[in-house]
Formats: sequence, C-alpha cells, structure tokens
Amino acid sequence: MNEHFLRHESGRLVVRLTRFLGTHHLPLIEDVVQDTLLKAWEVWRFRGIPSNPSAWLLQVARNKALDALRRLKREQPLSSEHLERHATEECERDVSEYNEQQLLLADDVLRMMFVCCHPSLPQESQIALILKYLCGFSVQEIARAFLTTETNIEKRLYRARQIFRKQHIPFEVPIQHALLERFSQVLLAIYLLFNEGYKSNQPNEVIRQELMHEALRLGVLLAEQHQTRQPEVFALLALMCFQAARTHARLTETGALCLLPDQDRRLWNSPLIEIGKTYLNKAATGSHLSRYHLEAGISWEHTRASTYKETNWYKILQYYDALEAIAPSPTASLNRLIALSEVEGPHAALEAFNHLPRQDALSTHHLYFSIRAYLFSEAGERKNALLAWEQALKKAPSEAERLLIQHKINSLI
Amino acid sequence: MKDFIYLFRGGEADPENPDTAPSTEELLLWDQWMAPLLAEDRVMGGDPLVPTGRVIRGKNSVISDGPFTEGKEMVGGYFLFKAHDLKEAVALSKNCPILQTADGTVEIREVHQL
Amino acid sequence: MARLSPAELQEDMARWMTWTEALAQNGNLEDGQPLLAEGRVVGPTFERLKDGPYPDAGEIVSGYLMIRAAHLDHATELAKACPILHYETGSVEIREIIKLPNPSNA
Repeated sequence: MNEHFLRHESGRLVVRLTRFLGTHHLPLIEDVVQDTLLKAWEVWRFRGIPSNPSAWLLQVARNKALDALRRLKREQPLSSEHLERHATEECERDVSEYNEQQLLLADDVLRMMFVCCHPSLPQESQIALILKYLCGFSVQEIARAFLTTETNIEKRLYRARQIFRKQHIPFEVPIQHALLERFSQVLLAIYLLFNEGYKSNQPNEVIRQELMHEALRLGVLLAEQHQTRQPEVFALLALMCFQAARTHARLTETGALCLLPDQDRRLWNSPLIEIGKTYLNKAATGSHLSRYHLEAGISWEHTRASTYKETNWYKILQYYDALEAIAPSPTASLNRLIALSEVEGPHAALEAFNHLPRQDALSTHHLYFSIRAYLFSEAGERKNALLAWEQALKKAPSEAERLLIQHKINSLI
Repeated sequence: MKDFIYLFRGGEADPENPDTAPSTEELLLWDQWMAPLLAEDRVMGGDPLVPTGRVIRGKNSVISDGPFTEGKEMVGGYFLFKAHDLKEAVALSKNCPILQTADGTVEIREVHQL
Repeated sequence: MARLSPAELQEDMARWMTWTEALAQNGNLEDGQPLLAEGRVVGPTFERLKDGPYPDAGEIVSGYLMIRAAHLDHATELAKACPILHYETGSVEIREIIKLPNPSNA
C-alpha cells in the first residue's frame, strides 16, 4: 500500500460524495469521510488491508452518507426532498460499475479543483480547500505548510463552506468563458502550492516535498482531462519537473540551503528532467505565451546548462523581460537582476537595483538584501556586500537560509 | 448472524476477596443461563479471567499491577456469541446471573463484521 | 483518534499490522478482534444503564487479542509493543484466561 494511500483516498471520497450530495453538504461530507477512515483504522489494524481497499472505503462511505442524509431529513424535513432522492439514486447506481467509476472519479477530481477555485473564494482559501478536500491534508498539516495557526485555517475553511452553502455552488466544471477564467485560477493555485513546497520556509522537509508532489499530481490530472489539456498546463508541469528535479542538490550536509551556482548538478533527478522535457515539448503549441511558459523556459535554460557560468543568460534575461510584462512580481524583478548581472555586469545590475519600485514587500523580503549582497560581491564591493548580507541574515525565514547567509558572511570576513 | 462479546464486570459475591472460587449455586445459575444459548449454537467461547493482571499505560508504557481494583469496574470474564443484532444481544443477556448481584453489569459490544 | 489525519491513521495502522504480524509469526497470536464503538451496558435491574460502551471506569475497550504466552510477565512483555501505547491515553490490560471445562458439563 502506497504510503499516502489513505490521504489520497480521503480526497477521492470527498470528491465522490460531493458529486452525490452537492457542495453545500461539505461539512457532512467531511464528517462522513473522517468516520469512514476511522472505521478502516478500527478494522484493518486487526484484520489487515482488504483485497480491494478503495472499494471497501467507498462502500462504507456511501452507506454512512446515506445514513447521514436520512438523519438530516428527519431533522430538517423541509430541506429539498428531491435532492436527497437524487443522491440516494446516484449512490445506489454508482456501486455496480467499477470501471466507469474510474472515469467518473477523474471527472470528479477535476470538478472539485474548479469548485475550490471559485471566484467567490479568497485566494488563500483556495489552496487550503484543495489541500483539505483533494489532497486529504488535516487542518494541522495545512497550518504547518502555510506557517499559520490551525485556527486561521479553520476560519478559512468555515467561511468557504458558508459560501458554498449560501451560493449553492454547483459541483461542475464551468464551460467556455467561465472555464477560461477559472482555469487560470486553478493553475495559479497549483503553482502556489508547488512554490510552498519548493521554497524553504521551515526545516520541515517532509511536508514540503509532499506539497510539490501534490502539485505535480494535480497538474498531471489536469493534463489528462480533455477540458483542461492546454499548453499552459504542460508548461506548468515542465516547470515543476525541472524545479523538483533539483531537490537533492538543494541542501548541504549541514542543512544549509544550496543555491544554483553551488549545486552539484550530478544530484539532479535525470528521469524527472526527461519527463519535464516531454512536457516542455507538448507546451510548445498554440499561440498563447503564458507566464508558465516563460518560467519553464528559464528553468530549462538552467537545467540544460552544465555549469552556472555556461548558462544562456541572455536568453534567461529575455524571458524575464517578457515575464515582467505579463506577470510582474517582486521576486521576478529581483531574480531578473541576477541574469542582468551575468549579461551586462554587476554594476549595471546594481544600477537597475536602485530603480526598482519601492514596495514594502520588496524591502522586507530577505531576497531583496540577499540579491543586493550578491551583486555587491560580484562587483567587488566587499564592505557593502557584508552590510547587505547582515541585513539579509536578520530577515532569513528559515534555518537553512540562515546557515547559507552566515556562510557567505564568513567567507567575506 | 453477527458476533458479539459480553464483558462481565462486578458481581463479586465477596468484593473483598475477589479470588474466591464461585459457589456451586453460582455455577448452576451460569449453566442455566448458558444452556439455551449453547443449544442454539450461539456460543463461540468465553471464560472467566484471573482477577489480577497488569495494565500498561501511555507513551511511557507505565506498567502497574492491575486491573482497576474496584470490583465493579474490573472485567471478570467474557463471552463470545452470535446474535442477529444488538437488540437481540441485549435481550439474551437478561438472565445472566451477574445481573442478579448488587453491582454486576454486562457490557455488550459487537465485533466488526467488515 | 477521531482527530487524526489520514496520514496519521495510516501510520498507526502500519504499526498495528507490524505488531500483530510479529505476534502471529512467533506463534503468540491466537485471535484478535476489533469491537464496534457502539454498544450497551446493562445493570442489575436489567435497566439499560447507558448506551454504551462507557463503563464507570471511563475507558472504552476498542478490541482484544488472545495471546499465548508462558506466563503473565511474558504476556506483559509482548504487550509493551502494542501501538495503542503510542498515545498517552492508550492502555493495554493483560489478563490471564481461566480455562474452565465446557460449561454444560459443570
């Protein structure tokens, strides 16, 4: 049994039951799924895992859902009777055709992704919903991933459920114009989820890899469905593959973060890179150049180069210029300066640095000072570099980054 | 038919001396209660338990001589048997001799079927 | 247990399966069953005391294993690895079974 089996099953069950019962019953659905998993725990720990664990879980969940509905009906006789009848029929019909069920499941997963990214829901809630309902994370696990409290996550989920209930958000993939709108939201959610896994905020390796894998898994699901098999999805998948491929090279033995210039590229995951290349090729269709195409392009240039210095910086700079036009962000602007430094020299980059728009986000982010320090280093301005590193040290969000910055400081002293 | 367990607690004739062997009368009462159950092929097993034992608790695995010293809380024995549902299982316990004592109780639990 | 995440439940299940498999392989395991959480407790006047299973002691029996061991100490030793002890509120009670002759012969 796959080590994430129950977590993934939890997601599958939520999605399936939401099709039966509708998004406004999500609280009930959550309880039913949790009860089902508890039952599995009670029985399987003594009797071992049944030969078809997914079917076992689905049957138990289905029965519990029907029981819960009947109880609800007794308590609230005025609630829509036809809905409960429809749900009962759906439940009963679904059990027989297992193969057809597999297709239905993929559809349901897709529906849930779009439901979680409904425009009525705030951005931060969307990822929390995806993690809870699709990926089977607990509230505690989600809170850890986002460096916030369980209470905050509970609140976000609660508000989301309220919105589902009040607006009777249908469990379906939108079509045409609405699909396009929502689709970019879904991609963004997956992208953000991946980034949460990728960037080191906490020395909690396990959770972070998990997030990257979940994002990849969801991306693959999107690529497999005809409604969402778009070049952008392949571009995002390529980006995630290339980035994830570097995982083993990104931490030193002492637990310090290791950046691109210093990474041992032999530790990069070649098979994953190959998969990324396939996705990149598939992304090269259509006329729309998305931010994911550009970011995948940047990542690919790094991936294909044998060393940091032999990287095609000119091309990377072009990608960043295009990215600034269609999807500006402080992080992209800062990273662009590194490329600029390689192409036009550190002084040009430092000059450009001074012209960066003054945003609060920029000046408090440690990246601002880290890159500044790096550029000073490249320009041979040791004293300025040290000052900047020290400011970066104060803002370092994780132990791994602290160690890295301390190392840089030590090598300058 | 489903599987059930009866857990017997309390009902000690002499709570101060839980080790005392059951009297002939007691055994007869139990026999009377069990006979129809046996005849219907419902009984799968069951035995009294030695009154003293051990309890291990929590993460630190603290071992203590156990179980709970208060007679009425201690499980004195168990039965495994078959019944159609919880209702029937409860009904079948009606003539259990332990219920004729001051503090005896029977806990009835169903064994997971799935 | 109700608050555990799917990942944590799976971890716990794996611990149980490891423990019971080891017991079985060493010939110590005779039987073991999980019990449904619902149940009844009946008392002396045959009044339903409560919808069980919570006895006065306040702890729920969630299952049982029948073990073959040399003596109480051995059985206790085997019980130390029980995964329920991973949780602060978990406990294992070890009791020796008095083997009586068939009741209808008593």
